[in-house]
Amino acid sequence: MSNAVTLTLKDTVEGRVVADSVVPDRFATLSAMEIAHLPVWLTRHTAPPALADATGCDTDRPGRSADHHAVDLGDLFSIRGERSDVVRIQGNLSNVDALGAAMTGGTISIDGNAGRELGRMMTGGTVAVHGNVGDDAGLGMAGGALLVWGSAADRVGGALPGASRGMTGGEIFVRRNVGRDAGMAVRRGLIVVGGDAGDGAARGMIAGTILVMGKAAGAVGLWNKRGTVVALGGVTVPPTYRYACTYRPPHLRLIFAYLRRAHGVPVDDRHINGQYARYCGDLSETGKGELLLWTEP
Amino acid sequence: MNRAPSAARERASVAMAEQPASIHGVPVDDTFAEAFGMRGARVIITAVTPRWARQAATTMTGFATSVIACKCEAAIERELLPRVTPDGRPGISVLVFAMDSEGLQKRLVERIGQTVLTCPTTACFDGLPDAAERMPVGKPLRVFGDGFQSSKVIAGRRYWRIPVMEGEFLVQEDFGKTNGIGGGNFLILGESAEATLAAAEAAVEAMAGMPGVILPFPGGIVRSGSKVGAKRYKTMIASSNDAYAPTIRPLTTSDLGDGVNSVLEIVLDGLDFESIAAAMRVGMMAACRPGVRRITAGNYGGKLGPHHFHLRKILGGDRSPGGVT
Repeated sequence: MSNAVTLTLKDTVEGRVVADSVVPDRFATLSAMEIAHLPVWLTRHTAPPALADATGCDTDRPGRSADHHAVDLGDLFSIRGERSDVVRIQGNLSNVDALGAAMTGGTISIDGNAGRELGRMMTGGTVAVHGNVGDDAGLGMAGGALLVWGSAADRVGGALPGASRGMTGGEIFVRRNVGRDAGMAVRRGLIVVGGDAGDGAARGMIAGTILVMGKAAGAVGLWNKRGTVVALGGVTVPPTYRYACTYRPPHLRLIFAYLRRAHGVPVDDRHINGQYARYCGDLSETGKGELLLWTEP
Repeated sequence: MNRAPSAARERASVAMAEQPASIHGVPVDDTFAEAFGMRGARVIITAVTPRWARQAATTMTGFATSVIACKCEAAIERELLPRVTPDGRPGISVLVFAMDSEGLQKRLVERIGQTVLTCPTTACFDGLPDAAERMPVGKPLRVFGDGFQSSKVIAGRRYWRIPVMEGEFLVQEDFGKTNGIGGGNFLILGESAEATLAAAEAAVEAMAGMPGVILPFPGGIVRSGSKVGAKRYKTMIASSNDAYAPTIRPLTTSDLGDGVNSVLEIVLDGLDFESIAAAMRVGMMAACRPGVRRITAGNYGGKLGPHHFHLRKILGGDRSPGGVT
């Protein structure tokens, strides 16, 4: 047993790699040889793997599109260590997708960028990325924590294709910006964006909390049922929201205190102690959701 | 604000290998305080200022001196700095004890609902987050929101947001409960009412803020210590402890001894044996001062409960449940 399993990308890979076998709780029981023989998938097309899963089948591996082919993990990565649920990955992984998919525990630490669908359907454990991540990070996740020190592309915490719910639990922290449709159809959980959010954040949100510390662009919280959107850097309130009051939401203090203590998120005192304008909406839905807009003192 | 260690507490921190028969010349009886099992919970109340947190806590712990008639025993455990409270505001820690789990849950819902929810700016949190046994508290209180309430899961715990005229009341959905001990005690036998009260006040001052312990009676002091049952009235659960009542010394089997004209009792409830023993030691050492003739304890011959706090063992530094006879 090792303290950690370290994967180092050998060479740049053409196309995309679906590495949904890189799961720390699985590594905890495997020898280095067994880890090296885990399958990863090479693909020429650029469609997200979840979409490929839904649309095509390989002849020998159900659920894989025809232009996927499997190689061993050891063909792409040099592997050091075994039988540990702490996984360190090194190299430019911008085209390596689905790392930590369905993981239930353990830790993945990525020294660099990561591809799409990071932490897809994960239910526990922690994935930390010291770089940027691609689309669909935390896709359908139900637990655990996703920590991104850079930016995330579109649909953070979103739903699998055809699914009615996005993220149903867990926490996603993005230190910089996120792309479009962050938190789409989120059912439960917390998404914290340290920078700006692209258009369509919290679209179709069912419940849960999205905190945007920068600016949220475009329409925010459309069709929101019971979710909370907190905007510290300004937002355009949709016409289907109605102003309620300006106050200090007690649960925000709790969230901020938790972010500071547990995750070291730099939260300004003026945001902790500040007043927030509360807008109820989306009134085209149940109207039990809310936009909480920090107001300058 | 956490209190700085008093001189008495510092003295008590000195390890004492022996079991002293006296402290500062005040004899300590070779007896034990008899205590009983209870179910306990810790409630953290926060507010915009320490004043409002204390106001809510004081109101919540009113009329909670004894389970005999109050159905629970409760008091402020200590004040909390903002850096240790869940929401980063000034807070108060309250301990509540009842005879069973059902009673504990009912009392918490009643008292938080009537005294904390109603108090401006407060929020209410569980102070035993690691307790495996849980009971719903915020969950039944949420219906005050009449359907407008909402919940948030933060760090794996659910909180209810109840809309009120002032804004929102935030309360944790469930609270931890644990086995506690009620009725730890010691008696201060003094030459005069003034000297006895001064000794009792010194004891309370020394014990203030010690973790895991409360003194549920007024100002932490009991003037009407009781015995189990009654001699004349059979329906009474408890009646005056006539053995220590100086005005009827010649009429009963008195245990006062010469020169004793007043007795006060310190009653302690705690989350565990060690916390009570530590507080008793500090309190007894502070109480042993001029004008005090003796220190003893409420010993009911095994009728009251299984937890026995031997005064001399505790003064000797033995805080372990091994002190239980």
